[in-house]
Amino acid sequence: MTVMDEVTDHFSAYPDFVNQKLQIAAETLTVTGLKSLINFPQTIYMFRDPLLTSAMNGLELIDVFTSLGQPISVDRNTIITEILDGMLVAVHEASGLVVSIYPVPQPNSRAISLPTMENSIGGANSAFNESLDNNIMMLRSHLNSADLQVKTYEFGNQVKNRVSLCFLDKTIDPMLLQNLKHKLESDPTTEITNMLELSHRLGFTKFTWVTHYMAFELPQNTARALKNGKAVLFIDRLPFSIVLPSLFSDLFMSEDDLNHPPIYSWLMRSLRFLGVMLTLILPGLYVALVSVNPDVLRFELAHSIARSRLDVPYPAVIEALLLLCVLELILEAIIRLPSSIGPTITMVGGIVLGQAVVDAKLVSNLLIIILATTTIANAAVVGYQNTYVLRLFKYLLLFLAAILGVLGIMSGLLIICAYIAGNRTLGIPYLQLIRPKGE
Amino acid sequence: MSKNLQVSTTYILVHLAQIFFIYPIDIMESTDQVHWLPVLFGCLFNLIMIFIYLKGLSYFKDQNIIEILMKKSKFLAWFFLLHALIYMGSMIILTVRGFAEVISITVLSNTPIWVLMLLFLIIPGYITLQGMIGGILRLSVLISALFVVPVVFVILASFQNVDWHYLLPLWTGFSDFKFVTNPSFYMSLFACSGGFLMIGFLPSFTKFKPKAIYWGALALLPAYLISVYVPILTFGEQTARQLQFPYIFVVDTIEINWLMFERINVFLLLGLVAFCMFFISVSLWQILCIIQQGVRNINSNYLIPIILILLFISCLFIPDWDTSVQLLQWSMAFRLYVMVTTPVYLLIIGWLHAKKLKVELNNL
Repeated sequence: MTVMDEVTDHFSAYPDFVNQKLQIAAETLTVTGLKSLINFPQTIYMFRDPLLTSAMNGLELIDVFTSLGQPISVDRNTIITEILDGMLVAVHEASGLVVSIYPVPQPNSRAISLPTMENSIGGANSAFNESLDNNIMMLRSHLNSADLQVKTYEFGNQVKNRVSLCFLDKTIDPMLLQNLKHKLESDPTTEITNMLELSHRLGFTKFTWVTHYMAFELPQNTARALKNGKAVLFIDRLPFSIVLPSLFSDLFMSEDDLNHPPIYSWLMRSLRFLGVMLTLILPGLYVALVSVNPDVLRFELAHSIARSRLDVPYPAVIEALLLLCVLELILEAIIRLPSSIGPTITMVGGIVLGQAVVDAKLVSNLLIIILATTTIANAAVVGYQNTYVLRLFKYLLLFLAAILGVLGIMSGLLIICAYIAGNRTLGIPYLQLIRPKGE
Repeated sequence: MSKNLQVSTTYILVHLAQIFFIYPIDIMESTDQVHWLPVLFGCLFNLIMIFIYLKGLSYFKDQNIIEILMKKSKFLAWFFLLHALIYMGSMIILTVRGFAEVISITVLSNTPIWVLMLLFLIIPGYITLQGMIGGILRLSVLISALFVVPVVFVILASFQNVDWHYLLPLWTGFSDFKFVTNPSFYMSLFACSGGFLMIGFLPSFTKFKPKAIYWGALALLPAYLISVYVPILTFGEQTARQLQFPYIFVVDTIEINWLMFERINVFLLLGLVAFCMFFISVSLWQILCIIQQGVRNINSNYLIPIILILLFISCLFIPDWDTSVQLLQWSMAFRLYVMVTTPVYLLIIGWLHAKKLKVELNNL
């Protein structure tokens, strides 16, 4: 049994396997590939044309044949891998020469389109998609620099997947690059197809609260990160770039700001900072001022709050927790709903439930205002990953405030600050502005 | 990477926590008038000691005080490090006890004091464990950005009821220098003793210019003056010296119509408590350094809880506020002694070291 017979045998159960013989002058050629990955009519046309004209131009057919692609060794596994990678494998029957040709591929991802998670006001609007090569192409067009290095790694034994590492050679912190390369190269056999597997590979603990990476859909954000000396990873089939490390400033600054007059961009950044502080403090402050330290408030205000809570039968912290729970449920429910049902949930959750819960004297009016503000403020930060940590940290302050009042809020803030200050990603401290530097 | 800003803010924050409570009383007790003179003298003394300390450290490139001392004479190293250890320990205990008392009086009267003391130890413990010195230095920038705004706002608001006539007389003659004979003046020096030794402990990766420390020390001068002068300008000297915490009392009398809060001294207190926890974590880290580099390299995950438990037990032995004030007075002599001898000893061995190097270079 020849090697090609073995390969055909291996693929016999594949409905999309094509094994076609081509007769050109006196020579027989066989082309094989998967039609799910290769556009066969166009590819065959592209393949046959130079061969047919070779005699006319006075060239040897075999020379033209080898120049069409990369000659590969006649080995069962090599050929199978090439075919699975979407290459067209052609065999010259007489000489047994095997050539792997880059074909016209089947379109395997959506066209470049608008981002789905990020919005850009006044900046470029085409977003990354699922194709890794496409993403690198977009990055290159945004960052036309000889300095841009792209290293591609292949991971996995059974399921193979590609991960590309991009960085600017002269700007990246050498320690970051060394750590990252070391981690990526340590074990090529385990697969990396999602963020969890990547985090595991990069050695991030499971109990990390603050995100270690930013995921950007817009190439200009990624290009800015590269210029600032960060590293970028692309995982095949994930429609975003992974920027390492994430820094404190990523909560407040976005590339989009640079398209606005400086004063406005700084005002917007301060607004985001205010948003972060409000999200963290407000629910805790309500609980602290209502239940532990009412004396801190002006008497008139304390009185009106107390009056609005007159019929509420449980402590402020339970009241806040109940409503926060409903809000979290709405936030979670709305993500996966089709856009035709989404507004209904918003209406039921926002108007009906909000109004009813106050009318039924289950929570006070003020709390509704506070929690609405909190939820809105939460969305002001840059990057979806960053909203998670704020959503979680506000509960820390809430519980501490219920026990220790305003002192609890201060302690909670201090704990959060200490966590942020002590956090490191691949040896790079989290609490830095713009340019990541090692210690 | 230069860390001037981080070192400066750390230096300022570490001291800021100590200034606004007992310091004004000590200054007022040291003299009846011309209060700026003892304040200035305290600062000057501090600057001189910093100068000697930094000079001594500068003879040894990229080494911290423990490495320097250990290399010379083991016995003397032990002598000084043991002192430093007691110095830090006593400072932490008194600060924790003092602040727990203040918080208990002002904000949380129903909470048992041991809960507050535990809080004042656990959070600094977490800060130290989470970040070590790199994290602590970065934290200083973050919390100064967060808490300095309310603190400065309250300090500015505290000028609401001042009567500038109380500022006078500014100078009456050389009898103004009588305060140097008053023990209260030496008590007041505790306010600049807090983060003083810290400079020597910073590891080699935190490169800073001496300028950073001097600027930090200078930036504290207005805080010292305000803490003493605002109560005097508001109540007059005779009334102000009757109060337990004059400055906190002044802040309690501020009335701001447009603010939704009645007691804005809470903001000042919370800011100061944050700085105090920061100060404790810095001291805790120094204790950790001494034990790990000087005695035995025990994992911080075990060492910090052990230190915290010991400190907590010691705190529990202080029954009331008067005892802690008394302890502060007793410990002051010891603190002054450590403050003076450590830099001077460092300067001497540094100078000898440099001389020896010079001789070796000449012989080559």
